Amino acid sequence: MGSIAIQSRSGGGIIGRIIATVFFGVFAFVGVMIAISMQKDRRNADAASLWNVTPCTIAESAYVLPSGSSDGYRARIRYSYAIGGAEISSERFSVKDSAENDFEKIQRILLEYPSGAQTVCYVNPADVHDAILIPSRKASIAVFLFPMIFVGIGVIGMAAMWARPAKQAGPMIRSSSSKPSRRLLRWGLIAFFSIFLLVGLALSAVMLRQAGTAFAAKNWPEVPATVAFSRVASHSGDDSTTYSVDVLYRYEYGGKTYLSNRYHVIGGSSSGYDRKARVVKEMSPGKRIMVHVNPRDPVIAILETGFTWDLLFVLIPLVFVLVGAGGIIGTLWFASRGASTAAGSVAAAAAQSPQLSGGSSRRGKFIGLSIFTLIWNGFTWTFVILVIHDGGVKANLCFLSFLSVFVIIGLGTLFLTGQSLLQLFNPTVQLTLSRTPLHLGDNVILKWELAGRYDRVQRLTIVLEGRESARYRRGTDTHTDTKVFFRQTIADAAKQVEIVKGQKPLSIPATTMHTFDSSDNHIEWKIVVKGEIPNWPDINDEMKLTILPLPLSEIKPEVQS
Amino acid sequence: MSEGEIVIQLDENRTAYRPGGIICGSVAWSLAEVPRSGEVRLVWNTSGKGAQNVSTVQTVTLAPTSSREQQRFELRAPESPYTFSGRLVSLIWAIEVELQPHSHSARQEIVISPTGSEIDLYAAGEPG
Repeated sequence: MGSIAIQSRSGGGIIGRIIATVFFGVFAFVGVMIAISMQKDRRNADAASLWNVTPCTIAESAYVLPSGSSDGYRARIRYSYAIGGAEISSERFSVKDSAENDFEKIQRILLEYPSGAQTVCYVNPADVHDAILIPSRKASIAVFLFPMIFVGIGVIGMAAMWARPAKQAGPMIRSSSSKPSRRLLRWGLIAFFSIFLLVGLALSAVMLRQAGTAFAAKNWPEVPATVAFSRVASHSGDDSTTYSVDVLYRYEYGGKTYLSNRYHVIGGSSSGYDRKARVVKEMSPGKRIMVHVNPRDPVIAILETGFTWDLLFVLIPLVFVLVGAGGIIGTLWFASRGASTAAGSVAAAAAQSPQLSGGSSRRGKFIGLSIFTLIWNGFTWTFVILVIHDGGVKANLCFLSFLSVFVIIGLGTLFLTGQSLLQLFNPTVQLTLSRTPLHLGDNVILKWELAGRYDRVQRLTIVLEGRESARYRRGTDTHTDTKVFFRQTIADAAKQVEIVKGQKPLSIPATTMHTFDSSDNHIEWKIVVKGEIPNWPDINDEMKLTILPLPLSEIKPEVQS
Repeated sequence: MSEGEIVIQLDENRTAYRPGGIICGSVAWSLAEVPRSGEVRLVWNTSGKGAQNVSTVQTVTLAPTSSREQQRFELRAPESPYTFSGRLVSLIWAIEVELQPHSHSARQEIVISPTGSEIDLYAAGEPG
C-alpha cells in the first residue's frame, strides 16, 4: 500500500445543484421585485404627504356598487377646497385608489367622511387641481425586511450550492470540520424553514382569531337587515377562477344605519359556482334577513355565525407551521448528529445497559405513526370535505381523483397505525446480558423473559445482526441504504416453557467490526426478537447493542505489513 | 528527490499497525522555498455509497528550517475505529502531510486493525 490514493467527494450531482440554484434564484428575484414595488409606492406616498394641507368640505359621500362580477366596491368622496379664491372640486381619495371586496373598509371611509364634514386635503403645489384626501401611510422600514428575507435566502442558497472548500493542492482529504458549503446550506435551510414557520404562525393567529370571532358572534345582538345588493363575485387566479357569495345588507344599530357584506367570519373564495349561485338567488335585493352585530364595533356584522365548513380553512396555515418547525428541527438534528459523531467515536458515552427492552421502540413507532396519520388524514379529508361541500363530487371529479392518491396513502398509514396499536398489547420481551460493556470476542449469557400474554406466542426467535448503513444524496433527495453483514441465531424456541423464559450463550465474533457511528455511515449491532402470534401482529422488536473494539490487552503486539 | 516533491516514509516500510501501536516515520520534502509551517496528521475517511465523512485524530506540528529537509514524526494508532471494508461503507486510515504556504501535501494510506489487514465485513460470506 505505498500509493497515494485520491478520494473524490460524493453526493449532490451537478443537475441537482443547477435545479436548486434556479429555485433559490427565483426566491431572490421575487424578493427584489417586491422590494422595488414597495419602494416605488413608498416614494409616491412620501411625495404626496408633503403636499399643501388645505381645508376642504365633503360635498358627497357615497358608495359605488361593483360594475361586474370581478369588480369591487368603491367609496366616492367628493370634496371641495379653495385655492386663490377659486373653488376646486376633487374625487381623488388617496394616492392609490382601489376597489375593495370587503365593504367594511368602504363603510369606515363613509363614516369618517360624511357629507357636509369639514376636514383637510392635500393639494399638489405643482398642480392645484390635483389633490388627495388622505396621504398613504408611510410604510415602516421594518416592512422592507420582508422582501429582504427572500433575497437573503436566495443568495445564501445559491452560494451554498457552489461554495467550495479551498482548492486542495495535493491528495489530501479535507477534514469534515471545515466544510463551509455545508454550514452555509444549513443556515440557508434554517432561514428558508423559518419563513414557513413565521408565515404559518402569523396566518394561524389571524385565522384562529377569526374562528374565535365566529363563535363569539353567536352572542352578538341579532338585528333585522335588508339585502341591498347580491351577486356571485368572481376572482381570477393563474389557472382558474374562484367564486364567493357577496350579499350587501343594510341594518340599523344605536340609531345609525350601516352597510356590510360579511357573510361568514372567514372570507375568501373557492371553486364551485352553483352552490353560491343558489345562495345569492335566495338573497335577492329587498329580502329581510337577520344579522349579528358586534356591539363594540357596529361596523362589523355577520350573516352566518357559529361553525361553518369554511372554518376548516383555519387548518391550512398549520401546514406551514408544521413544515417550518419540522424543517428547522430536522436541520438542527442532522447537524448536531454530525457534530457529535464526526470523530467516529464508539459511543462510549452510551454505555451498554445489561437490560434491553423493546417496549420503547413500540411506543415510539406508534406515537410517530399516529402523529403522521393524524396530520396526513386530517389535511386530506379536510380538503375532500371542503371540495365536496363546495361544488359536489361531479363538479370536482378531476381534483377528487387527484386527492384519491392522498386518501389511499392515508388509509395505508391508518392501517399501519392500527397494527402498531395492536402491537402495544403484545407481550413485552426483557433481555438481560450477563456482562457489560460488550467487546468484540466476548462470550456472555443472554437471558430473556416475556411478560403479558406470552401464551399467544407460538414461536420465538432471537437473532444477533450486524448492519452497515450509508446515507447519501441523489439530487435533492436523501437516501439511506442498509445491509446486514452478520446474522447469528441465538435462540429459536417453539415450546411454551422455552418461549416464556430462557437463556443462551451469546458469542460476539472477534474478527469483525465494532459499533461505528459517523455523520452518514454506521456499523450497528442489534438483537432482533420475533414472536409469531397467530391472527395478530407479530412481536418484532429490535434492541440496539453497543459492541466496543477488542481491549488493547487482548491484541497481539506484533503486526507485520 | 525532485523539486516540489514530498515523501512520507514509514519505518521498516510498515503500512499495518495494531490499535495502540506506535507509527514512526519521516517526511522529506524538496521545495522551491522554505516552508513556513507544516503538519503531519493521522486521519480516517469513509468511502463507498454514503457521503464521505472525514476525521483528523492526531496532529503533529513540523518546524521546517530548509527547503530540502527530512523530519521524523511519531503517532499513536488509536483504539478505534478499525480499517474495514463493506459493500456500502469502508473506512480508510491515512497519514497526511501538509506544508504551508501553497498547501504542498502528501498522503500515505495505512491499516489499523487487530488482525493486520482490513476487516472484511463479509469474510464469512453473505449472512443466511
